Amino acid sequence: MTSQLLIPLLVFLPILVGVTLCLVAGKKSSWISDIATSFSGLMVIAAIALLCAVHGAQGSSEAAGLIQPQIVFGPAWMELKLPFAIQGHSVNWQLQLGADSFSAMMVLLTSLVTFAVLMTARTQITERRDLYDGMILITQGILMGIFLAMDLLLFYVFFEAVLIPIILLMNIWGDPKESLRASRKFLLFTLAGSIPMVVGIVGIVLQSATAERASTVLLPQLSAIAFESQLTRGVTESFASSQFLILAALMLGFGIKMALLPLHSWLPTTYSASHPNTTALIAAVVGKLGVYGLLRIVLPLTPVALSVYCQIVVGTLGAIAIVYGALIALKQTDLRRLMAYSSLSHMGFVTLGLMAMNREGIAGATIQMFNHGLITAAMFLMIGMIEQRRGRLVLGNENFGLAAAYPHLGFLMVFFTLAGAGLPGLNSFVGEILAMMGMLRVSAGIVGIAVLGTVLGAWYALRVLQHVMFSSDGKTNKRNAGTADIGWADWVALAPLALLCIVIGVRPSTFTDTMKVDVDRMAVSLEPAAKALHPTIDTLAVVKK
Amino acid sequence: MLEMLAWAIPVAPLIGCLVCTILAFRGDRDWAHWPAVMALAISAVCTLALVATFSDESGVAVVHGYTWLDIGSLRLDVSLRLDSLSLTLLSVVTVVSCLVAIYSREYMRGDPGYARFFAVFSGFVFCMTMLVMANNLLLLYAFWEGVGTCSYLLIGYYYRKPSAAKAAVKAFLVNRVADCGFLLGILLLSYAIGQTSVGAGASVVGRLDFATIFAASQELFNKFPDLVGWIAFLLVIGAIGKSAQFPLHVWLPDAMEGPTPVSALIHAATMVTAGVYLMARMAPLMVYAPDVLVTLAWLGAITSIAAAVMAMFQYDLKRVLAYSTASQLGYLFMALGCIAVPDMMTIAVMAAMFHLFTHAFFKALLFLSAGNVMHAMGDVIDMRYFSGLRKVLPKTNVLFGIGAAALAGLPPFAAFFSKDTILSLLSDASADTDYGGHFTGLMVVGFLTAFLTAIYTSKTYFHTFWGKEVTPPEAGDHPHEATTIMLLPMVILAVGAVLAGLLLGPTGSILHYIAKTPGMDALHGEHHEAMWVLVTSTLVAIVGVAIGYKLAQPSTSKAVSNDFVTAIGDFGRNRLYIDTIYQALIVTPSEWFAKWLGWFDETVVDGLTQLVGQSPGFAGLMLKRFQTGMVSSYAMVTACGIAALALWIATQ
Repeated sequence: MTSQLLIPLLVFLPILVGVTLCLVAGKKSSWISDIATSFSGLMVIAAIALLCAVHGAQGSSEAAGLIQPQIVFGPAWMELKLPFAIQGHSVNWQLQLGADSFSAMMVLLTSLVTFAVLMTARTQITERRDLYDGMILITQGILMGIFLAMDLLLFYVFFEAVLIPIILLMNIWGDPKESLRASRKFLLFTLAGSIPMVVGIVGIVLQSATAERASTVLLPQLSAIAFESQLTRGVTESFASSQFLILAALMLGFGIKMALLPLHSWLPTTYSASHPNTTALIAAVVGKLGVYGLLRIVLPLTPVALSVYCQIVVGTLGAIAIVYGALIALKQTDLRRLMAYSSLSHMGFVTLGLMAMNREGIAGATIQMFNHGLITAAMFLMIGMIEQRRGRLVLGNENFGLAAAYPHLGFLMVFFTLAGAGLPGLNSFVGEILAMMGMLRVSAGIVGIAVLGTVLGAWYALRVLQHVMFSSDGKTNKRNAGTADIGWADWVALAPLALLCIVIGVRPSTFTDTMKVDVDRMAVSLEPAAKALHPTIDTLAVVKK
Repeated sequence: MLEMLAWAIPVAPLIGCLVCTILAFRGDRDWAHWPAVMALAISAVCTLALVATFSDESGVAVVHGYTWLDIGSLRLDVSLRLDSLSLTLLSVVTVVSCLVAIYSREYMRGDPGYARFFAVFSGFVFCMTMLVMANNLLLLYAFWEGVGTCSYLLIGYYYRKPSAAKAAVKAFLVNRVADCGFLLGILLLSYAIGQTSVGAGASVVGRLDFATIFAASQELFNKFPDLVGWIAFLLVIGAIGKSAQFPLHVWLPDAMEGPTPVSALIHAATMVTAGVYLMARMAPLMVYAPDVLVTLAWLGAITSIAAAVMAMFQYDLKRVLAYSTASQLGYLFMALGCIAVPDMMTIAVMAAMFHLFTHAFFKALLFLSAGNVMHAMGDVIDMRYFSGLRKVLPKTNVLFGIGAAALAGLPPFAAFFSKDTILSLLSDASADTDYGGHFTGLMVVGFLTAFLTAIYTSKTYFHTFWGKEVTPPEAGDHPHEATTIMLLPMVILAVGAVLAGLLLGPTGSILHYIAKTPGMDALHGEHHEAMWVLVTSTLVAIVGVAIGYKLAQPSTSKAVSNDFVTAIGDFGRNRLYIDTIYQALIVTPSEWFAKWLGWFDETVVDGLTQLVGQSPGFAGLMLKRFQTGMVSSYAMVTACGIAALALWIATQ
């Protein structure tokens, strides 16, 4: 029972604390950021507790369906009665929060990144830091809401609500020249995505209602319905086409949010206009919302249509994004933009994994979401640290030689760069190899493109190290004079992220064992759907019981 | 007991690495060699103990660790595989690394990155031992990348130097290109094994465990003959990248930017042999792709002769040795190519491992001697600035001489036996009906390379240590011989360079040892080396050494310098223009394309999506009025909308 209370705690408490901090902000009291940081530290503990609880509660749920949250929080008062009827049934929607392993992983990521962001904000953010801390906590709460929502309505509300603090964070603390234009672009793109998303969600809810059955917004029920109709109607073209419009709307909505090629152009501007400290949160967590939506809603609710209309196309787009992003990153001179394109490239592996629609793919995509969050957060935080000491970094003819000037920062930079470049023993390798292994069972050609990303990804990443960290003695460089290496607060922020990179790399089963049950459930409907419509796809004989 | 010993081999260097990392953060410059040397010594002792005691009926022991990953079709255990093949390479790796670490204590003394050096050094040995003992192809790949990364960090050890930083990136990227192929090969293999009865049967089977691969390879070949060829080809790409074979050899000469002990250990004795080990390990699968093997042999042949030519014209002592390494590794691949001939798998693998074994000793010895020269000459390594050092460095003179004699293939030094094993293997293989012609050609190349090797080796040696004494100004007034701590490990290596060939080759002990590896063919009768091969190669070596001696004389080198020789020399010094061609055909176009793509993304893609995104705004005046461009107003609208929704929910 107690584990259930973790869920409202994780969602509503950060919002509450954040709002309170915003209200008392401006009193020039230094303890506010202490409170914010310690509170976010507590949230990390709560998130770990949630993950453990999810791990412990595996298999306890008996209900059918592809989504079965191990921990559910849905008291009777979270019920919505609407004054109209669908298919002759009055609308009486039960809302629910809950956690399965996918949610729990993302919650852990969010809490860790928030903690790191607040920790580094102590030195990075000099103006209105109390307000900043408050806003970050509000963002955290809303993000937790997205990941823990187990019904479409709450999911949608949180999904849209997160824009408000993000836009404010971008504008108040972002680059004064760029942020207005960038946030306008971000908002336009996102709003363009939300409208089809609403249409898609409404479509799903309407389809869920039949003469015998009232409509529902609960994801576990909806996924059970989807699976049932897949079994009764079979994996056929006609069934797929009945879901086509819903799928198209959802894919457009989530596609923009996940920066699916060619809908990605909001991403570089957004990432480079915000303060790097903020970008760390945006890139690590907000940038994952699109793919999370795909995993949470599109995959379990419209698997048949997905495999007919999207699997190959979107999978190819993902593979192209890997190469495309890496190539563009190669010639970027602004470090922030470079990292933005690198995100585009790395997220291609997530798309690849999801579109594989099998066990390896889904597990790989989830791990990769988590991995990329850790790495990209660390990278943007470190860019912030460098920029604070050196001003905005532009790669060019100037010699930085920062490794000699800031050895600790140099060590961490090399570490996270290697992690991002997919070095085995660190985390990205696990996600990438699983995603590619999954995809290989669908199409060797797509993997053939994606595997180039391992070369190109190393190319731009090592080029950054070569020019920024190495190649000259930064100690004798006048522009580095008077600045110090990173301090303990920065270490406290980055060390947990680094530690997790190692844990996942050395023993990924720590996390995949928890995910296994959920991944297997998803695969039960996804693999047959993909196989029936693309007979060439190899669904392997190994089905573990 | 077996498990304890086996795990101690990789774990000791890992602990050494961690301790040295902590010391590095504390800025240590005096103590870091202790954890490293002790860890490596433990590793070496455990390895030798295993070699002495290991005798299993099946010839293999698998030591289980933990389950790394188990999801979907992929199951991967971290477990160690002990058999003759892995133990052979393992003993080279641990013994040589321990000796080089002792040498480095003096060589790196007082360097600002002292602890960092030993941290990465131990880390490398950890990765390398795990690579050798990996029981699973994906695990092998993981540590394959790991040794590459340690190599990257060590080449870039003097990271303030732009050339070192650049060389490090080059090495990593060229290796990554190869690894990209290797990875695709692994992925395809895991897919293909899933289609066989072996892979599909039990769910606990690790698909990429070597035992599974070997068990499945016959069925794989029957089911997908083409796919097996492709997989073998992709594995070959991985192997030639790591072992610096044409056309991916370009990173090795630049890798000499690293400290000399690193060149000795990683870029001569151990890491570069990983490609050879991969091919030897995968021999039971590779045997089903004879065409790929012959291609591999030819790539080795091209490398061995081209690198010998390039070595001939280098001024940089370390680069001569680097090209010589690539050239010698070419021999190993020529030997491995003979797996294509029926019933010769075991002998081919044995010949490759034998030469690998001896090469590790004499090449490490040569590199460490070059390190002594470099130390004495004030870090000058260009041979145009020094000569006649036999009085300055009397002991190094002897040690370098032993290494050079071994490399040149003079009897009875080690490489004489191991190289002849390969040459007579090629001569045996040329009797094959299908591929005999190829192997005849390969044998000719082998002799030619042996000749060139003798020439450049003796030229380098005689130029450096004999003739008129010249030292560069950087060397100071009293260039000095290396200390005892540096010389001691070199002496042990020299003993190996003299005796290893004689002890292992003619006695047949290495052949019978390697033949115990599971998956190898049974031996057919006794293996005899052809007498004419022995005689010819002895003559070739002696004549080559004599020519090299002549070339080392300043007067003769002037006398023969005509246009043709200068042209060849320029060609060789410019690395046959291969690097230039890569730059012009691959790197520059990619960068150009990347730049264009950046422009395309920012203007065309962004422009079009923005246009589409804004088009509803133009549709109606109503909407246009709200497009104020003020973000706060957008946020306001959204906030109002959500507030209204909340209010509405509350009133229900």
